[in-house]
Amino acid sequence: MRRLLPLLAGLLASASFAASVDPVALMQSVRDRDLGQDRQSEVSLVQTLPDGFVRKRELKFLEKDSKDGERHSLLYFIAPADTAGTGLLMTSYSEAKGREDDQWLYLPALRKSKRVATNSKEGPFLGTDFSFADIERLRVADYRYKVIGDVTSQGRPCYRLEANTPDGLENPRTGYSRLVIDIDRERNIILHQDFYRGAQKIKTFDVKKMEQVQGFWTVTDAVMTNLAEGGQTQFLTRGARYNLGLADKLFSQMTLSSGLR
Amino acid sequence: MRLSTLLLAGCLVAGHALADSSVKGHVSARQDWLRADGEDAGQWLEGALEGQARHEDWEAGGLLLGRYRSAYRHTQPENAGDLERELRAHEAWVGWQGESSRLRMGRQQLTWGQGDYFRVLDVFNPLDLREFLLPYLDDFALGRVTREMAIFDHQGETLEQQWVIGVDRARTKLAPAGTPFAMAALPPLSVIDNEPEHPVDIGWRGRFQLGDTDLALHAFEGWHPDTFYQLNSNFTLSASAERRRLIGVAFARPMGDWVLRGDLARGLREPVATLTGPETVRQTQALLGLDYAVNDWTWNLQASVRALDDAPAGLIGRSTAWDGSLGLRKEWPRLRLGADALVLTHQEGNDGALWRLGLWREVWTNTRLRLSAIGFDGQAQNQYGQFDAQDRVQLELRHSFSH
Repeated sequence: MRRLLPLLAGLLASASFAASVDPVALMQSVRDRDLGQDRQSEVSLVQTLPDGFVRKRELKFLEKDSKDGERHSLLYFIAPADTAGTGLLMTSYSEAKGREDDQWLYLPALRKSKRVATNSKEGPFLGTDFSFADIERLRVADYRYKVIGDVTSQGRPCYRLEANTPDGLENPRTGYSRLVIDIDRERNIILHQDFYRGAQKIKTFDVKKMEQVQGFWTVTDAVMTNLAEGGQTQFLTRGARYNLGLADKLFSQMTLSSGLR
Repeated sequence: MRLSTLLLAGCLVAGHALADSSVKGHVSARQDWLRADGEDAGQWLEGALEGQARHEDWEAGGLLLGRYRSAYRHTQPENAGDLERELRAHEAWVGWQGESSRLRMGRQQLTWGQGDYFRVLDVFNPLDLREFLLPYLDDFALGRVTREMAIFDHQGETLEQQWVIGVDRARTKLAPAGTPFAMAALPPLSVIDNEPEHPVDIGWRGRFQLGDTDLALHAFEGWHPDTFYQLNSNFTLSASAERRRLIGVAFARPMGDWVLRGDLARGLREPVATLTGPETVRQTQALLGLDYAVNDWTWNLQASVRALDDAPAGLIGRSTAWDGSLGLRKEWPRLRLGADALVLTHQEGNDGALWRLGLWREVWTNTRLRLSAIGFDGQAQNQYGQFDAQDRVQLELRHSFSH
């Protein structure tokens, strides 16, 4: 009985805690976390395939938020060599607008940019273990949330949330039916996430390292592990800078076709 | 080796020493076998080095391209040109870029319109067809004939404008008589060249977004890239350049997982070949394409039609011509495997098609081994059918690098 008491007390504490936190507001705070007016970084995606083959992708990344809730992004591919020079221009809209992203892909082999459809996000991003849904701006309305506990993840105190689709089936846009999410209570950053398709856990995401840059918490090392197919992808960020005063006109097709900067 | 080529090579290396620079390229080796009898159709080596360097608002870029084609080793020197060995500065330009404007001058290329393979609005750089389209199906930028141009872009609040001046005449490059991809209709006669002395092409494009739809308006005044031939009474050929004027519109619009795109061009002054020499006509050309890309699958479907307002007497070909294409591509990144299929068709009173099937594997980091089968079908007068004897299998090893 004495052993059961702490467990019971913990359960009661969790239950009372769950009642006190609004999970939707929590997810919105993650989505709307302050990242400055604009930002720039270099990203490496190091993918280790199940057979041990290592594939490295390197990108330069620019992003700017506008007052009306639009977010403009530019990605330039530096490696692998066969995609070097490729660029991606994206405009994502506030969730309230309910509008799909606009995307243009610049293909150096054609010397032109092409409009890209963005409806489905479940496909792999650049062939890695991250999907387009994993890297896009968080959409809170995709799932229904429930706070299920208070945990320590990566050594940090976190809220643990469970996210389910309203009908229990896979979300047609993301391909996931259930998520288990650990959110840093102070920093509003997702530190760990389990992805489910039906009853099967197919991927896990873990933040390995965070750094404070110009006062903004920045994830500099994270790993997506593919449990269904094997292998993993490490997401490394370096050279992050914030509030650079990037011009709106930088996020244009003219810049996209200018190549690496 | 030309001095300009050496200079470009030096600039690419020197430019890379600057902090804001990028270099990429590839080396490729390929073996061809003709499908009919398994005959060795030769080896093909290619190297490309491309770089850009920036210092504050100034920039420079270039692309150095070298090739060796063993199939042309025994071609008569007067016919082979530089087909056996070539090394050239494919692109070499300098430029300035401000916050909302950009000017680039020098040897370069420019793509207009939404079409792939079928060039409804893509009028500035003709194609190098000395090996037909085969080297360029995956890298169209290497197949364009580059030229001296000044291109000025301005990004306004809602309208992006582009002004272009091309100051030398760029011509479609055709395979010389006696080589595998020589055009059937081109007789091996000496040619009397009647080229203009100071040809200039001028173009304008205005690009904007209307809701979810990308729109671009185009206007062009200049010269047709094809040389027009006229057989003289003394059995010599006269070659001439003909003027061209067109306006057009291009659009692209996402629809769910698809993108619908198209080009529409109205040729206000378009030269066509007739038995008595080139004639000027008016024509309309339209292209509609659909793209689908989900889960490592890519589908592209295109249809294009060209129609003359009035067919002149003695017109070579038909007043209406159709083109179509279907492209499929599937990648299995975890297996380092990919496969693709491409079919191009042309119908102008006679049917013809080019098809290609490919399978590749990333054998080492940045190194890809590709096996392709290429076939030409159709009547001998068709632009694809005339190369029916050139059906082939290709094995290519390509290593890419970037920094």
